Amino acid sequence: MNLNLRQPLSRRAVLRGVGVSLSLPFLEAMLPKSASAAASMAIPARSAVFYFGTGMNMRLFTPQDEGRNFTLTPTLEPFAPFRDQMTVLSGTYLEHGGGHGGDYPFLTGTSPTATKMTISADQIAAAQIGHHTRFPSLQFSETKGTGYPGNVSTLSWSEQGIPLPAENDPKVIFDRLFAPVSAEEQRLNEHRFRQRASILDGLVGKAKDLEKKISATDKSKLDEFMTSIRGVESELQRDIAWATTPKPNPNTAGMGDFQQKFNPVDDARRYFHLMYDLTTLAFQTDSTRLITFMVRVESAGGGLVTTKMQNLAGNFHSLTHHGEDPVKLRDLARIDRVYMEHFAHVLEGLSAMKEPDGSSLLDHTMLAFSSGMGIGHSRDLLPTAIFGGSALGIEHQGHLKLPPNTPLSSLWHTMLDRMQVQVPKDFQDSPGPIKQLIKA
Amino acid sequence: MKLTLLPTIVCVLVALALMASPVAAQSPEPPVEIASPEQIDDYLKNYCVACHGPEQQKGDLRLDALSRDFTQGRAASVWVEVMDRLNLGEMPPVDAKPQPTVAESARIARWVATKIAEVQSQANSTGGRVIMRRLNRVEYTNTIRDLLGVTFLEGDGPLKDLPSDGKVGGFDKVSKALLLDPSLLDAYFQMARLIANEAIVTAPPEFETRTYSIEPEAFVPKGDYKVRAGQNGVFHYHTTDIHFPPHLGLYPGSKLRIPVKGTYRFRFKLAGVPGQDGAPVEIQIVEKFAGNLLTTTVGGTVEKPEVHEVSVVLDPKMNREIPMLRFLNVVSYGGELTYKYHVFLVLLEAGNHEPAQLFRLMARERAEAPNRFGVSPKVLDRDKHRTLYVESVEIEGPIYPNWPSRAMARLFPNGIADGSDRAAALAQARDMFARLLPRAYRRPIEQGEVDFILNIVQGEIDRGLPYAEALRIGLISMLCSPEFLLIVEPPVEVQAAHEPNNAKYEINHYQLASRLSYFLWSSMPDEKLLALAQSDKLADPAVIRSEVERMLLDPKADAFVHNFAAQWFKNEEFTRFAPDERLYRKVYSPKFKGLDKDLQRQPLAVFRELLTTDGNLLEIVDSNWTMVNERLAALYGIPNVKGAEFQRVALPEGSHRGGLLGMAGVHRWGSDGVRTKPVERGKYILDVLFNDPPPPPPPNVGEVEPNIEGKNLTVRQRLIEHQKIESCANCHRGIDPYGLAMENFNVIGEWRDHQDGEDTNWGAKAPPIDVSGVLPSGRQFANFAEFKESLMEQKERYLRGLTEKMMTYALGRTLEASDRPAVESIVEQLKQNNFTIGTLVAGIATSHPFKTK
Repeated sequence: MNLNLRQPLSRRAVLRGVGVSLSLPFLEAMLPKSASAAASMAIPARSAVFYFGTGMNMRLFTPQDEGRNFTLTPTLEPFAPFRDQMTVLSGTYLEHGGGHGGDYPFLTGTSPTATKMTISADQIAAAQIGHHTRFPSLQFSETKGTGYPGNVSTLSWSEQGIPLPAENDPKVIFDRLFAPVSAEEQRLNEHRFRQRASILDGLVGKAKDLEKKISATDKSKLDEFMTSIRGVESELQRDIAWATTPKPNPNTAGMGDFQQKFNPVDDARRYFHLMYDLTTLAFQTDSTRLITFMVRVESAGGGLVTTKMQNLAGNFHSLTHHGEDPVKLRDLARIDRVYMEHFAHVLEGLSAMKEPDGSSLLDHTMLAFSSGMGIGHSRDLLPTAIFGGSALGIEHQGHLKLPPNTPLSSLWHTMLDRMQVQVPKDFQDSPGPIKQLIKA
Repeated sequence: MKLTLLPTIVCVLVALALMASPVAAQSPEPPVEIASPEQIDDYLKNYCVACHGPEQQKGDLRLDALSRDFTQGRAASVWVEVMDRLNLGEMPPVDAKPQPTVAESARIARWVATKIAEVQSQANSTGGRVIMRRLNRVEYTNTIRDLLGVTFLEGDGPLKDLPSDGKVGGFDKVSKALLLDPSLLDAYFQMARLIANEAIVTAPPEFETRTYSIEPEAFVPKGDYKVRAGQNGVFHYHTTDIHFPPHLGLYPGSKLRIPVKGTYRFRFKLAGVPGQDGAPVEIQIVEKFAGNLLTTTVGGTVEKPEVHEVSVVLDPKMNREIPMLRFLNVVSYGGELTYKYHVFLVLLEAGNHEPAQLFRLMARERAEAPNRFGVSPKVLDRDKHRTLYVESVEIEGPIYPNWPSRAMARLFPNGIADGSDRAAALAQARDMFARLLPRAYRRPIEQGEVDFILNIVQGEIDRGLPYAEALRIGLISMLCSPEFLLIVEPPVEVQAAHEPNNAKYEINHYQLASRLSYFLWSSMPDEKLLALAQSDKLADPAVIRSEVERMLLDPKADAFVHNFAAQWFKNEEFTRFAPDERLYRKVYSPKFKGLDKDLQRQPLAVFRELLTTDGNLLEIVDSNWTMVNERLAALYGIPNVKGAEFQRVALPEGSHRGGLLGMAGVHRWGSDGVRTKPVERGKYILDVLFNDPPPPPPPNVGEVEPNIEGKNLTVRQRLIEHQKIESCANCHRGIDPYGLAMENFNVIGEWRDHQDGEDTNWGAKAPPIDVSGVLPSGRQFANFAEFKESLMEQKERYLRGLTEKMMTYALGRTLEASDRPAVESIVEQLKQNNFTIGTLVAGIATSHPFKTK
């Protein structure tokens, strides 16, 4: 089948032409070529970004020595098996970070006090590569929703600067990704698709009528409404296109039970392992190629891990105000270590998955983590590291000391670049990708 | 028009967004000196360009060629960097010669700050016009309630499922922050579906509301009481709690007690017999997730029990148990017999008693032996002790928020057609939407507007969908329409929209009705307002005044308290930091359980009291009364206040608890759980009371450092160290005195005369608190009382700030210089009318900006 020659049909053309028919030939034609031909294509690039709110004890995080043979610090020890597939980036800096507002600018570069937020780096990628997968991107978090306008539960922001809600329940995520759609749901979906389409058509007409009546200054708000209609239309188009493609049925052997409800506070390790396994599975099944994960929300986070830890000198947030108290600093590092142990699980999961060419899924996945602050609520000295992606042209350096105050955005720039995503001019405050990370 | 600002500028400017109060130029504070263009030239030439000029560009920075137009390229962000470095005293470097004076550097820094504020205010500017905006989440929820009668269980519905709204100028009413995007429109679709399902219902729910009960005796098996009752019998009790196990009180015809999510009403029939000391039985009714529902004393007799009622939302997915009883002042004993054995003995004693009698004995048993180590009934004189008898528990539920459906009664007063006659059904649908749309769109409608929805309804019927379902789809399309979601205020004359200069115009009466109702009710106009609009009476200021009066007395004015006052006081942030559990154990005692909510509610209770009494707004600054409940009164040491409800109490002479600054919540807000944060507290006053927040600090200055081991300095001492740095003093002079003046309030808002808090064991060496200070105007004060006097002296500044805030809220836009006359006129009205809150609200509602677009 030579799909290259066929222009994708618009959803509206389908709905106008055949009414509610959702028959297969049309749907295939509507699919972007890469979705139906995914199997034969090159192995896709994936990336994930993780946020550990309120910083870390950087004194036990940052390696003393530089280069590939760097000595793992106590905090980084869990990454010993992956030391060839990681780079610790010292010297990263978040212009609008520090304090407790670093979650807003983290992936956007925009200050939390801005009237309007801006698109996050992952969504820049989603706009360009999201059509390949059932989910353009996924948002995971330890707390559900957006949290906006307080400390946010999500790292992802839409083009219009609106936070995209995150999900924290492994069962909900698992079902969304993998639970088969029943015949009844399928039937309801067909109605829903049709009804939405006809309402949207009507709304376009209404908005156009309204445009004639309102004053010039109000037009921008109506533009937002029109943009939203178009956005929902294209979402609908996606939904229709994917409705008849069965969801994947991944092998979850060796993983925990995604269906069983439990309180994450009772077993943080189990919880984070499930969430990291879902990261692995989502990438492995090519359900999405972009994930953001708010592992620890800013300011109030940390409780999942610390609640069951013994003999801590305070809760996580109060420990970050350590006041040079050696006990508090030690406890901070203890907590950091637990988070890093959990994180190592996703590296294990990804490296165990093999791609058709024998490389590992980790080779095709870039994972980066950092925080909105370093130590002592600073906006520099961020705990930043990148893992994996060697098949995407990432050249790992072990411990790389960047010039002081290198914008964190240059790391996102590097990842976008490696995913073949076109990076907008004036991307945040990035001076460009980090050259040392890119294979010559 | 799209945003014209470049994104790079937006991101640096916003930090200063709120500092510029365009109206409050008349502050009594001394004017700040700002560098003139020549001074900038000289400063750069003398101190900067040697390193950042044509010859050298250290750090890739060249200042002589940098544009002073802050809208150009990255100019703004570079200048901000310059300002931060100057403020931090990092530039020029200390070893450079010559060195500028502090005043010279400060002038430059202020010039940058002012320019940034200017550009920002231009960016937020709407040219003094109200821009079309969407309903915010609260308004959406209330509008649905008033339009269709559809309400939701607490924690359900739009307030949960629609995303929260952004704020500008401190309020979630401003178009620029009330964005629309595909994800939100999608959420509106889903919400509309939910609402349509709740509104158009043609059959009763599977589980109708029924009344059923737990009659303990009915469940005691006949026969071997010993075994059955002791192990798996009437009640399970642990310590002082009486649980009702799941097999009791089942919904009729089902195996479940809570068949489906809904509200359940529980009527506990109880008798409490005081013991010898005469103290009444005290109980709590507690639900596992919702917490304490009721604390009360129980009287009555076994023959005539009292009824204690609670309502709570229960969901079978979550709640396996119904509320339990907690016997608070049970008498406890030590003893040689185990509790179980004790029950056993009572059962033996009961012998051939009737089940009801047996049950009462058991309840009595409960009273006497609360713990595992009960005492032998043989040595117990039961009449000495308080006894709680449980006669029965009546359960009413599930009570549905929308069944019987108010929407059906409103939409189809003569009943809904069955749909078998297509033409009749469509005629009914047309009639229904023709009546509904004017209310949904808050204005008269045109014929074609009904057609839009009817076409959709008809299309669905033609596809074979049931009539009711087709109506729901019609309803969804109405609820997703721009006219419903947006507050649309088109010019009366259509051509005005296309005039190039777009002069301001008076909005029509319907639009005025909407502005009033969204201002005071956060909801759509009611019939009365719409009728006034229809008869063209609403423009009359006297009519507006009487409407404002009526609206403020309506229960819907609760929305004004919860939206305006709450955002004004920031009360939801009060408890953002929990007090340290070791330093402030007190607030973790059972007595203070629920205190956090009380802290948040107090300022709202005061605001509501002002509304209902048309009170004096200066009483927010200081007053000889406040609103408290029993718990808060205990924290404040106010005697004779009982119960969880807030009540007005007169404060004795010399009390510190009058006004906003006497509220513990404010002080909790201005603390980090361990120590007080005077700078934050100062900012609170400047922002909340004066609408004049200080500019943000330069980066990386951090907070007042914790005490270094062995150096026990007070927060005040450390802050004053900080002030000694001249570049810091510039700003802190204007902030710190306000915050330090409140140092008498500790982390949990208790009054203190000596230092407490932090990890320091102050003991007898705790230094006395010194709150004295000098305001930037030169006004001195020695103690908190004098400080409050000094605030009262600034009452105009306060009234102006409050007027600006409420006007921002009412208009949904930031204020501009052109609004100044309106603000001044309202402040004048306030002065002449005893500063009443009604004067302020009516003043805004009758002001020119409120009536024009």
